[in-house]
Amino acid sequence: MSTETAVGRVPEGPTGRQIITFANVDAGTARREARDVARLDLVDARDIGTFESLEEVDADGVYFSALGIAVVDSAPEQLGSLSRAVGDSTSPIIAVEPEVYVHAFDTFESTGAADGVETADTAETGAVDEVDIAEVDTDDADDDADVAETYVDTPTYTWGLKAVRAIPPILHTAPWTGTGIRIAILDTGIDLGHPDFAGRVLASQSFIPGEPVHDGHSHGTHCAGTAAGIKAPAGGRRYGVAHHSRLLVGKVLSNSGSGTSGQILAGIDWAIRSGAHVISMSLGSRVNVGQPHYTYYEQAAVAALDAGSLIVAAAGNDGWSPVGAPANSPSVLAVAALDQSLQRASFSCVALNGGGGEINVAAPGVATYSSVPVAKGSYGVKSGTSMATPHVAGVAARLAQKTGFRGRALWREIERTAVPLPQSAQEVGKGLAVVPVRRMAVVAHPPTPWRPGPIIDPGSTDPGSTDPGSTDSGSTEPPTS
Amino acid sequence: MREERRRRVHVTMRGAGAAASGTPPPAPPLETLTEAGLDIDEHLDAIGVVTGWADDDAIDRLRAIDGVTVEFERGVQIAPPDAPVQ
Repeated sequence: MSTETAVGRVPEGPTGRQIITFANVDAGTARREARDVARLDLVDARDIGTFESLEEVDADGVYFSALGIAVVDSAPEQLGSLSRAVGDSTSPIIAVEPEVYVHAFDTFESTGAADGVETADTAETGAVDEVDIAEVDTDDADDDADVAETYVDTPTYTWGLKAVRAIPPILHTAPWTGTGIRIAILDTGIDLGHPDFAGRVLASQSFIPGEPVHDGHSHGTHCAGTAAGIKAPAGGRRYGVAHHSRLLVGKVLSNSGSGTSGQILAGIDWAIRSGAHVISMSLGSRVNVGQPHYTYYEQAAVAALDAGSLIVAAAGNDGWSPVGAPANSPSVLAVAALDQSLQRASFSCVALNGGGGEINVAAPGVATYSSVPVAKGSYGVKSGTSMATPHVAGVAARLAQKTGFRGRALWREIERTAVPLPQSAQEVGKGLAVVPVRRMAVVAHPPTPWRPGPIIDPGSTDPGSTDPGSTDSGSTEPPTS
Repeated sequence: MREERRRRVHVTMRGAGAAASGTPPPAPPLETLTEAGLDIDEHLDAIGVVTGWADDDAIDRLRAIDGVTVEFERGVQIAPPDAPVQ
């Protein structure tokens, strides 16, 4: 069993010990009950003074009389006896639960299993805890988008993930990671051999005659990565917004980047029939001032919404020009691109036409790091409203998981939760699309006084080490004993 | 002569979507489109769009059918992989 003194990774999840909660009885009764039920010898915490770990205590467990709680190392058969006592109304034992590791909020938190927010899919990353945690170095984040801030990539995540809060602000978690949501990427295909996409692509289909799904361009693999790239990519720098969503990949653009509206329509039709919750289209064609939307795209988008699929599309890269098609369809969510200062990128098209030609939301679309085919170097940086669009697709997936909303309700939720920006709606719509986050509880679990170091001393930046001197910290309460 | 003027078209069947909004006119049967001269390529029934080929005369006949919209297929082109903006 690992402890916090182990070198390296901070432990998470269950410790292997059990926490027994007693009814309001005196210490003697509680200790007798533990002995009678499960032959567990408990020592009263008041009798033994301070200690570093349970291993130092010559007993099966420690009873905290002020709390009416004992922490025990129990064998499986003892655990069975304890569980039976929970069901016995005459026993003062009212609960037996696994102890979990608890850490200072600014370095680590392990609440996934305890909160029940997300327990599926752990095999994918091998992590026990599925909750995204604020990073140590996020010192200036707060509830609102800090428009004075300039975002930069770090070695561990892209600026875009930080901006859309897939890397949550400090003291927040982003527990909804897109699990159970299917994102269709209609683009130039994908490199199915890229290790970051192993097991992530539910289905793929090429609508380009004579070309397999494989992405010979790089645009599609880049967009798929931004929407749903894994949490721990081989390249080290995390770039995927909804890292537990699955991908449906429709190749509607050739390896040279060309396609037709008919191939795109066929791709939308396929995505709807494949059960896509979000359809991301980083493509389009130029539209003139005064030009209406195309009926076929609008009909396809209405059908998608009716079927619970939300289409998000790139506004276009023609600068101060109308939003292109299909983003100009009233029932397609149009996405503008932002730079690292959360300003509209100069290339990002604007709302010059009504009737669907509006910008709906904005997202990071400058210097976006994501996956590219292995043959092209595995990772690369691109700019464009094409890069902003899959950020919104990932945000949509996370919101869809959190709320259960689909189609039009999901659209409204994306707009409702978007963070307003100083620029006009003509340029950035309702503002920056962001991932749903949750403020951390001040205390997620009762403190565990025999391991006070990591709880009362958040100063250490090395999560693998403990500071024995930390109990002297004057700013926090010493453990009661 | 006539063959050279055949063009790729998208025929949007109003009311034929999964559950179209509003109260559009009911979509005509596919045979109506064929009879009007549409050479059907694909019937995308999840989105209520039929793609195919038609010459100018057929397009005029198709446009006269109640409940359909006929538009020409368009090309889409994204930037090359190394372009500064994509």
